[in-house]
Amino acid sequence: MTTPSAQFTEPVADPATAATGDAAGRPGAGSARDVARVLIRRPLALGGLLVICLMAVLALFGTQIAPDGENDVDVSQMLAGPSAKHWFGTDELGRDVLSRVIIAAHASLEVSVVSVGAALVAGVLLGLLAGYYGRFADSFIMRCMDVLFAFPVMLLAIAIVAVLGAGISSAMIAIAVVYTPIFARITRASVLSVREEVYVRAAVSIGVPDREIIGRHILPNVAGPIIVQTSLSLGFAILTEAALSFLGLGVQPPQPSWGAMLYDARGFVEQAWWMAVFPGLAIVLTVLSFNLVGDALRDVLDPRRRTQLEAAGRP
Amino acid sequence: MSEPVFSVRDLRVSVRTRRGLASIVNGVDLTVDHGRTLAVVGESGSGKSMAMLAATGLTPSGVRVSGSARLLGTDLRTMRARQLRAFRGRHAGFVFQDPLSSLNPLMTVGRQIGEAYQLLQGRSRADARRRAVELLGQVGIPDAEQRVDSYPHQFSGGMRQRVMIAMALACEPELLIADEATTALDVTIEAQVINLVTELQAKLGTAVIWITHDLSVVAGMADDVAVMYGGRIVEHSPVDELFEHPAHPYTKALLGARPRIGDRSPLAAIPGSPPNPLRLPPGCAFYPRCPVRGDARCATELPPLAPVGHEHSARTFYADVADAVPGGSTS
Amino acid sequence: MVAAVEDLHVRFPVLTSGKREVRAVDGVSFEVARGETLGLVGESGSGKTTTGLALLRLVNPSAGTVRILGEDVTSWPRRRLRALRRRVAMVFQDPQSSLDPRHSIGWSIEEPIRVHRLRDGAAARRARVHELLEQVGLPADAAARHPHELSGGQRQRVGIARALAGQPDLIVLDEPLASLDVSVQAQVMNLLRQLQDELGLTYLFIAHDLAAVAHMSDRVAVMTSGHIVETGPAVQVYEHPQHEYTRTLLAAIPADTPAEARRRRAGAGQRSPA
Repeated sequence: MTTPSAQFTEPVADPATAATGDAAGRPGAGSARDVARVLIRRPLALGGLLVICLMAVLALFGTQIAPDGENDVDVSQMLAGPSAKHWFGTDELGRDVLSRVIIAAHASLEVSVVSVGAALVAGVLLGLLAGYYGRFADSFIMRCMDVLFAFPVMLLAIAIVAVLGAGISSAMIAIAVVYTPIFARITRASVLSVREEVYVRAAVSIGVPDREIIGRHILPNVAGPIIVQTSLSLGFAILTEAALSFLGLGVQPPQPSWGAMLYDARGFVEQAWWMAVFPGLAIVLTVLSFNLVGDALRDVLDPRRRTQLEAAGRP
Repeated sequence: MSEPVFSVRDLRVSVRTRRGLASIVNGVDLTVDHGRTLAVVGESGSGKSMAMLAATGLTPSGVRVSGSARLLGTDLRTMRARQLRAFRGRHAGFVFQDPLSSLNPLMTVGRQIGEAYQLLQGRSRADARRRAVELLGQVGIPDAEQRVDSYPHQFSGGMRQRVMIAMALACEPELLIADEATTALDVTIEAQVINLVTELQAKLGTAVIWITHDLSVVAGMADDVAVMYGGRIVEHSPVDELFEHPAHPYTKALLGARPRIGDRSPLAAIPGSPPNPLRLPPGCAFYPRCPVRGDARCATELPPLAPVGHEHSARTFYADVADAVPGGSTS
Repeated sequence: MVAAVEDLHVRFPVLTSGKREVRAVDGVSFEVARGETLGLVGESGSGKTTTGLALLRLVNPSAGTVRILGEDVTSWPRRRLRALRRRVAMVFQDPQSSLDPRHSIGWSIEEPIRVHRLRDGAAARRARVHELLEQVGLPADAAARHPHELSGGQRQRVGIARALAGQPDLIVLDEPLASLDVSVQAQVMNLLRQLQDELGLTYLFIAHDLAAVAHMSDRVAVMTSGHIVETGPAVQVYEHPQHEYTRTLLAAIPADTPAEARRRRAGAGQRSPA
């Protein structure tokens, strides 16, 4: 009998998956390289990514970049239209709209990132527990989530802010609470399917403790949909913050926020369209960018969509 | 019998993937005559399934196909999509491996069987239903009158495969292609399904192409065998001849690697793994694993499919070398 | 006795199609002696896989006892099961899905070593992984690769290496050949036999492929509908089957050669499909 030889022949590409372009055939694949490759081939998504980066820069360095301070008043130029001096015009107090839009990026992005971050942590944790342990934990957690889901987003946010008092922190808490259920639901759904995978059963058969199975086997394999949802939620959170601020429940004056600027502009829509349009555009652009990037990420990270697209010849 | 029912010439299939060009089928010629069964034998990467899918126009988009495939004298590859669908539906039937995914779970079995009959032969619903009942009876499903209105999930695996066969034969096609049709079935059910196909073939004179990796199945039901490796036919022979005098080292190795009841000595395994369609060697695809490694001509020169006996050809320079398969390889 | 199963029952509640429960395993008893291979053969739905899972408590017995190395593990609470799962390891049918695609081969093989603290320190663990890779005939650099980079046969070797990691007393192999190419099945069978000789392993070999079971097993148990209908030395069961079902099963094995197939058809007469 020959001893096992250390022969390692060429790895095989399974012809079934070779036909659809993914020689790997692995589930949930998506390295950083894949992400980069997809983004490069999609100018819209790439544009979205650039806009997000731009907004991030504005959020961090807005006060330095903006030509004027957020409350600097030019009395001679109240309600002035876009001009060489004030690219986006001025508002009813003579404040430069461009500067305010730039500086307001901070509030919008801060609220969005912090609240979605919190929702992510809470929602994923709840979803993991509900999905993995099932039965009572699952019922209890998901019914709580259902209760939160039952409320229209804005109504719930308003209610929470009403209890906590208006302000940026309340807005963040409200948005975090309101967005937790979607993360819980998405995580739970993914966990339910990954939990049935043979490699999870293999881990159980080895004797791996639950927390390690969840942390090392389940979580990495459900990350895809969670990441996609995160990018989409970031966009929606900006809208929600804008709405709250519009209602005076979020960011408080004198701190500028795009939503608050819309609120201020409502009385001047006919005379000074620039007061509403530019903050509005900022919101639209940012949300759109998050959505475009989110779609591209989904195409990279959802294995089935990938094989469909590659078979159709699209990058 | 003059013209073969189905004949394929120089079929080539390739796919451009992220990692390069995958050459899945590299020049396949074969024919099947009326009333005969051709078994196409191969493992993963052999291209056996892809070859038949490509020949009949069933490959996914993005796959490049060249060569000709004549069904009843008409080249399927030159037909337009709608024509092809009608022609193929009328004259060819297919049975795939997994009946659960091949059958629509929301449609009764009777409607699915009758669908092709109705559409392609312009018959009425009532006629189609009658035909479905008739076919269910022919494939051995008891209580056909009642079962015709059942749904796929109400049948067992073996029964579902019989339903697939009924569907495939609804329009009395001249050609039946079965791709790993019994692989997922238990051995007792497999035996029944094979018997069924053989009987129906005797009755209807259908030409059958049976794609499989299991040589034992081939022994029981094929007239001719084409062994595929690395996208090419490496041996083509009548079935008796193949088992008694295999010519190609791969065929010999495959025959030798089967466990035999009563013999517990180490198996004559083939070392290595099937070839990677992205990186096919320039010469014979089996060279890296071949137990016969004469003068290494095969490493760079592709052996032609040359005759080695009566209606028997093999793609090797070493058809005459006696069985040189090593014992007990585990690599 | 490495494993002794007595009157095992496994029942699953079922909510659809009118029945209240499915009796996957309906009173099964057998023993596996050290160093032997017991083949558990049956068709789909026979309950053979469920039986194998019960030995590791991956499904819970509804009745009966499972004894591993003399200890009754049938009702062991969860926290004690880790110890059981070092003693009994499993090789799964589909090597592609039984390896976590997100981790390297080396990580997957190392997992049991880590979980059971079988080696001190990362270097010692890695050395053990290399040792295991060598035992199953894979090169050391395979440790850094991911499952999708290996072929089916190579992945199954990884599955075997992982099962060996804890030096288990019993390895349950659940259809280990079913997803492999024919030419690779022979390699894996040879490897399993060789490892058994070298390391004194004990196998429960679960499969539906009668020829493979005959090749691998010392003793064979034939299972159908949750019952074992016949047990005995492999040679005896195959050559002198006692039970009707065993005979049916053996009769259905396809003939080895066309000549043999014709002989059978001539002898039996064409039977119409049931």
